[in-house]
Parts: sequence; structure tokens; C-alpha cells
Amino acid sequence: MARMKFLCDAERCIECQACVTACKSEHEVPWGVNRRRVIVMDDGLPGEKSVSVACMHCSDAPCAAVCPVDCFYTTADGIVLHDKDLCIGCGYCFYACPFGAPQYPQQSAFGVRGKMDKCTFCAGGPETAHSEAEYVKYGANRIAEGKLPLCAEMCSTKALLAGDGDVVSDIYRQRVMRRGGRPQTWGWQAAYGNA
Amino acid sequence: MPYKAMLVALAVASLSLLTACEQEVVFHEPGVYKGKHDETATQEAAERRQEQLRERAMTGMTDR
Repeated sequence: MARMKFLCDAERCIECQACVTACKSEHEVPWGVNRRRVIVMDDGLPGEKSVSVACMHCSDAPCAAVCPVDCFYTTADGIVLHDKDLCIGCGYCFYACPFGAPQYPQQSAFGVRGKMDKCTFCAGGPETAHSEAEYVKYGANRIAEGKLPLCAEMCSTKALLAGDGDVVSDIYRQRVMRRGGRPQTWGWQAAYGNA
Repeated sequence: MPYKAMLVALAVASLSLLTACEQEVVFHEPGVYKGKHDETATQEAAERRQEQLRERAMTGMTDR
């Protein structure tokens, strides 16, 4: 069985922010919410690196472990999704997530948080596939159409890889061999352990 | 005396209400997802799309 994973090749990421834009555009993500963002390490220094970060769909998702209303579930191929009808916007998942993936739209005054929003691996949510309800709550369901997440599919340098963990690992392994080293599987240990 | 009778009546009413509740209340197991069913999250759906997604990754993410 496939196990969906993200991998960002820091050697290739040029911080163009196209993945961020593609995600926002594809899912019509509201203002103030970024399901994906690019972070820069050692900004302005020699050896500066950037990586594109979103929900990594962890093997033993800490967000699901701390959720007081148990609104998280994992698909058979390892995509971590949540039910917005159950979410109470408590923010526990944000504190638990090692990647800062959960986002909360500000819906009213005094900083009241709305329902949590995060990357769905373009797999929608617990609504009828391709329905309006699914699109409004979770965004487009590309996975059901046999397509991979748009952020990875349109990455111009192919820095961001998404798909079955075995396929992603193979592609990355070949790259590392070709360039003679510098492997950097940023976030993989935290997200997937040794699996 | 009316006070005592009132207390007894209240106790009886509370007990009967609790008994009535027993049939209605849903006991959720902690830590288990209790939201709506997602048909695309099932094993069958994942198996159906597995090969298509694999081909897509091989064609779209490998270097030309």
C-alpha cells in the first residue's frame, strides 16, 4: 500500500514561493491562512537554504493525539485529514505540530479563532468528493482525480516532491547519487520516524 | 413535610430522567475519529488510485 509523503529538496528550492501561490489559488485559501510556506535558513549567509513547509502528514500525527474532539483521521494511504464540522478551533494541534502547519482564520473581533485549516495533500475532506461543501471547507480534491498535490506538481525546479514514499525516496536517491552527496531530508525524521 | 416530599419527588424525577438518558446518549470512545465518513479515505479507494498516482509522480517529478 502506498504511503503519501512530502519531501523538499533544499538543494533545489529557490524560494520562488510558487508552491505557496499555487496552494492558495487552487484551494481559494482565505486571507491570513497559508497552508504552505517557504522558510529560509541562514538567510543572507553563505550556504543559505530554503524549504517549503506544510503539513507533513505524519505517521503518528501529534495533532490527532492532542485533539480534544478527535476530529482527525488518516486515509488508507497515510494522508492526515480533519473534519471541520467537529473542530472547535481550540489550537491544541497548533502547539503539538512540529511544523506549525495548523492555521486558523480570524472570523470575528477579539482574536476569536475559526476552524482549523491545514494542507489536505489536495485530498479534500469528509464530504462528497468534488462537492461544493468539500471545496468550500477543504479545497480541491485532486487525489480523487488521480493527481498529486499542485504545489509539488508545478514546482519549477522539482524541489518539492509529493507522492508515495517509496517513489519519492527513489527519485531523491537518484538525485543525491547524481550530484554526489548532500542529502537533506528535512523534516522526515520528525514526520515519519524511521518508517 | 412538603419539603421532604418535594425532595423525594425530585430524586425520583432525576432518576427517571437519567434512566431515560441511558438509551439516548452516545458514548464515544476517546481517541477515535467520530466525524463524517470519507469515501476517498478507504483502503479500496487508496488501492484504486495507487498506480495512477505512482505513474504521475514518475512522469512529473523525475528529471527530464
